[in-house]
Amino acid sequence: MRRYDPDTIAALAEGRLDPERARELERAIAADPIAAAELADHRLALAATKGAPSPMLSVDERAGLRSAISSALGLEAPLRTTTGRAPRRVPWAAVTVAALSLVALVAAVPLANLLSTGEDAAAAPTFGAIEGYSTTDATLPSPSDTAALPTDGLDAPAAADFAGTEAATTTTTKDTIRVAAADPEERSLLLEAFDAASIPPDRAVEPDDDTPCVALGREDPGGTPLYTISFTAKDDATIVVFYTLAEDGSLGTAIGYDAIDCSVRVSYP
Amino acid sequence: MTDRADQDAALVERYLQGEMAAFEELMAAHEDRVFGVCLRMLRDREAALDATQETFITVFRKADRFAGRSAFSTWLYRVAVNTCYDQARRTRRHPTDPLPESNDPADASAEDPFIAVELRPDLEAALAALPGEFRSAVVLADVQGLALQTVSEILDVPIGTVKSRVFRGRRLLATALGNLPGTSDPHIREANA
Repeated sequence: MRRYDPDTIAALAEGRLDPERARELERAIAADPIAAAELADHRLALAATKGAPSPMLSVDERAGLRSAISSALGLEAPLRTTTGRAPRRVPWAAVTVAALSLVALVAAVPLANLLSTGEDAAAAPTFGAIEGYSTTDATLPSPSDTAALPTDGLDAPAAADFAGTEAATTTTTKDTIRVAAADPEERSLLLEAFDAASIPPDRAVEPDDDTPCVALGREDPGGTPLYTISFTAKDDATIVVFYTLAEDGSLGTAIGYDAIDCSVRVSYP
Repeated sequence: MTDRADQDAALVERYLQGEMAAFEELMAAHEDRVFGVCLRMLRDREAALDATQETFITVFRKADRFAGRSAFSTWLYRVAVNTCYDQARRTRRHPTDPLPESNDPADASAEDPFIAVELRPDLEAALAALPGEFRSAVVLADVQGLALQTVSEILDVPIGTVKSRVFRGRRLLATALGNLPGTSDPHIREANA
């Protein structure tokens, strides 16, 4: 005959009992080989399942799913990928739009100097600071390309870094800007990347309704015109930034959200 | 109701009023979880994709039947689980003939659907060894982390039955994890019989 009901053993294994009751029960069960084995089974199974990674659709599968559903339903306009719980590696439209803007990188608005994450800002961020990083789905201009870009209002040191460093060459590969704001070191990288991604007002991209977190961006920082840019962080989170420019073309306000859950990652002021 | 449940209810409402973007948001919010459940129930990536597709087509067509008495996700999982059961039954009834061999290079990602997505092969093999009703209960309750009451609503069985399946499923899973490779354990043979 069972001395312990299955609910109690499961509750103990799941950690749902108060500590005192749990200790007491644990001691008692240890003396009952059948119950002890059952408890061990629960714990082994729970340990395996609780930490199990979740399967995710690949980008192609996600697109294929929408296409198939749209086709099966005879929808005139195919279903689009939105950001409700999009996978972190899906390059949504805004990434592409923002990334394309990076093609026109010049240092008219040195964002990084101004963005604050509550940590010490990166000292004298330069383009060289993001050596090894590159843009999403877009190619940064090579030093020779920069000659063709407008230079009005260029911040001189940043422009020099942009045009003259080896980093500028190494970042011409198609890849992802690998920045993050999870710890001070990564935050500084993020800030440096912002600096490197300074965009002239005439090349800035305005968000549209498909831009992740756009509703929040329109509230804070708000203002018009509102611009957006985005990066993929080291943890694969896509950071979408909304910013406004002051009358003199410098950064007015900015806020960066994790595109998945719209939590704030960086802000200015 | 949770924030997510409230958001879902609002999205369903908007979708029923004709706003397609709301359906897209619902899909984006739930498709990975639906796919995850289907993949673990069917253990075949293509089949799981098909079942995920069928699930959302059903939701698209029958969203007006969602009464809102439970969370949208509960209803969605129920549709998904039933779709997976249907698919598994169809596959058993009409096993497909293997395609002729081709000279195309093997698709590594297709060799093992779980390894391909960096899941734990040992856990997935152990889950696969469980009888279907135990597997679905363990996947929903322990892997997806749903409350037993929710699992009861999804599977449409009394909560006592869910508990029994989850608890027994854990024992079988623990045994299978301890016995891999190969599941020669008498518990599993008996349960699969």
